[in-house]
Amino acid sequence: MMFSDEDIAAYLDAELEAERIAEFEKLRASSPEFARRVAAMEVDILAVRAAFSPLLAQAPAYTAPPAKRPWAWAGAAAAVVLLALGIGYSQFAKPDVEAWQMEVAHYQALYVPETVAVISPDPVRIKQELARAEGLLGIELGYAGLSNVPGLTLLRAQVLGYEGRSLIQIVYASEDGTPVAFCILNGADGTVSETGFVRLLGMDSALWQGPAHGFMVIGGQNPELISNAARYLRQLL
Amino acid sequence: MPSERSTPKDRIIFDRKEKEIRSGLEALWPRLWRFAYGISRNRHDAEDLAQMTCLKALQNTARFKRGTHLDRWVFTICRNLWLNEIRSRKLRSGNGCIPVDETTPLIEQDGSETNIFASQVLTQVMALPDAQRETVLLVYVEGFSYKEAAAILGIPVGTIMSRLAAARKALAPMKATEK
Repeated sequence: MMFSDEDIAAYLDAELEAERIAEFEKLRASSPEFARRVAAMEVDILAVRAAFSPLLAQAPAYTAPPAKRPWAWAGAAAAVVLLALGIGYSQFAKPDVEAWQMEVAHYQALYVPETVAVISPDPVRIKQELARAEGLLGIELGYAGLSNVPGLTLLRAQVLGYEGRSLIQIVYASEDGTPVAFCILNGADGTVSETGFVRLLGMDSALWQGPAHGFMVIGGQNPELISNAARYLRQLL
Repeated sequence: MPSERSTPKDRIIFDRKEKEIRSGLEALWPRLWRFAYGISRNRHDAEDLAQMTCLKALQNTARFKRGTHLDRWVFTICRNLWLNEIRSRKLRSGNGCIPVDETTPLIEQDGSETNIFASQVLTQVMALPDAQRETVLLVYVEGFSYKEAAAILGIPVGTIMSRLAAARKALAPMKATEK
């Protein structure tokens, strides 16, 4: 079988059709010429990504486009006043914590910085695990979105179970190495909720319900980080 | 905006959606600006482009389907706005030259090897032709799949593959300076 340069790029990006991978690897092992062609296209993608990540911090301050309605300004002004008064989000929505979320909190409490320090993220494996989770949970998870959560580095994704339902745990580390998890459980009862914030077992957590799934972000003691991550993730999924 | 004949319920849904998009845009902003910078290669253009994108996204609130990945939608808007901008600049000036911002160092130079390498990588990616560069930005920097990038750029997956094959060949030699 012949492989084009496009196929080689696809192979290196874990995008080659599954049924052609074995053939590709066989040829690569047996043909020095083909191996050289592959090597000539190998690029350290993690280095490319790392080179662009400092740009995120260089973005100019965000200015929200003006609202069309006067009362939206009033809301924004009120929020500014509340912030100025130091009233955090925890003063507001106190969510009902569901049993699975408490279970996740207990599990997350076992994660210490040392747990995540040894995980070296493997994008190919993470993508595979996300694809598996998509099938089980019936939700489209995008690697692009999940690997760009503000302030968090994506380390690993794994499928877990809770009382016969599928639960995906996506492991992150914050910039200071604190473990943070984003978890999704399928089979929600259809009640969509606002995002609520609560501290569970000493960890800041954001909880919300979508039409078919329950969500939570948990870890560390940095309410701002958790609320930013939750806000970002909620828009994505 | 909801139409004149929309019911109060429509308006409530619309308002909620707009609120969600607003908060999502703020969270996406650094990524959006980075992408805008990557395609325009100019800080001033990047900021204007990212701002315009946010405005356009909000104007199109009614078209956004909740739960359909705001980032893909916003990146699509951003890239289309940039194409329009290039077209109109070509019309205005008779050529398509876009000023490239080469004055500001992108990465703080502290002289460390990691830093020098990162800076070289960045320079090389930024020097790729437009079509390759936008594809590299979406697939390698942002992490979109071939299919997602194809949808954002409005091109077939095969084109994504050939652009990345070409970009990989151009970028592969930089390994030599890595160690």
